[in-house]
Amino acid sequence: MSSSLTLRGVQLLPLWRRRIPKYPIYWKGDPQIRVFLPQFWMKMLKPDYDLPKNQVHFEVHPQMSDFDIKNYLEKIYKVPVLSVKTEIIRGADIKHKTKGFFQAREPEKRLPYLVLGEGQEFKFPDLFGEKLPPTMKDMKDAEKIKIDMKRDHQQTWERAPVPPWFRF
Amino acid sequence: MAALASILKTAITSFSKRPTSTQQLCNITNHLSALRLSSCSSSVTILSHQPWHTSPVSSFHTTTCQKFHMTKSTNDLMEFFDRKEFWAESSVPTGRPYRIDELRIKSNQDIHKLWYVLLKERNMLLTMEAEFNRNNELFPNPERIAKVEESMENILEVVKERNDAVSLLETGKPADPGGAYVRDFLGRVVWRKFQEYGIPPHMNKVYRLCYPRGFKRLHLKYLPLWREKIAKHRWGRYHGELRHNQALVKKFPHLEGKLEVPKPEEPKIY
Repeated sequence: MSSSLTLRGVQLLPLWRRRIPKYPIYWKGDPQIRVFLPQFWMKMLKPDYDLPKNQVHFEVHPQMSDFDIKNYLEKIYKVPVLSVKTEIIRGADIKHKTKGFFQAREPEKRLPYLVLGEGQEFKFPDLFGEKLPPTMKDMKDAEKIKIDMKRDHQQTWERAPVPPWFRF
Repeated sequence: MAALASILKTAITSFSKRPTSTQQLCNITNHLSALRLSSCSSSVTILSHQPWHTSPVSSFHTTTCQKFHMTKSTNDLMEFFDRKEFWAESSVPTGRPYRIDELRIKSNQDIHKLWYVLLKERNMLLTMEAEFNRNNELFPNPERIAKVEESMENILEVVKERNDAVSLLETGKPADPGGAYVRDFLGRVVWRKFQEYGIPPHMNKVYRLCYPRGFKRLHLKYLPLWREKIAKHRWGRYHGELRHNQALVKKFPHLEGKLEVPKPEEPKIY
């Protein structure tokens, strides 16, 4: 975090959680206001149910409008968008761990449901379709180690209480 | 500069000793270029084709070119995902964030392009993180997000500096209007951050509500009362601590004379 001039409280938040800075006031006759460094983010989510091929689900910065979402994809990702519908979901309640009373609420989410433009198709990829996920790999390794240890124990069960350094 | 000189020296000695292969020269040029792009394993950066690895060329001018990263020219929604070879990996090798000194010597155009590279990278990382979490898997190298964000913040800082410099040249004032300690309608001295308004203050009803007309002589009597309130609060805390210490001394007699409570400061009210 290099920007030492920002407020301390704001500084603790990551950039993508922070508010978007205000647009400057437009005065009549000025050139059109343009955003050169947009700070919006979008992340693609796997839909819970089967969708037509030309629809995608996202989660975006809560300050993004429908026009922003459309422009973002068309200008930066060069993906034509037919329509945008957004839904704002209230954050889940955070309760006290032991006493269970309401403490705080998670931030709200803005979920846009997009229909892509003509000729656009997208299928959400399966990350672990062919390969094993990393945790499963670790589990396999652990099983192997377990078998090795078992074999070691079977071979040296007489000297088991003695540390391996003393064995011959 | 000393490090650069040492690198140069090693480069020169290696030249003089024996005819170096193109691979070594390539390494040297890599060392020399402090400004090369960080070697992140993103979907947007791929290594270009390197002919010098396979066919050694003896001429010198071919060795001046170095490894460079190129943006893949796919404009697709698959840019929201990492490269396919890193999908089921438990760790992903990454570089370091851009430092502010590196960005200061870049042109506005380059910085503008870099911003969009970083923006896409961050979107990709956020998407991958969400997908890993959905699959109950650990997201590999989550510090990548922080690294990208640090680069982005450094870019914002550099742009701010440049904007400020232009504003100082043109108007003699910094671009940010800043703030000042001003007296509010009750006479308290408070910090107020200035900002641009579309309507001048004497016509702006919202502004009038937020910041009522200036301090009046009528409200002068409230200032000492406020001061008294603050002092009372502080003295109350002081006596509370004294009482607490007395109780401690009663319980642990060896603390007698060792516990000190500083007397409260006078409230500063102007």
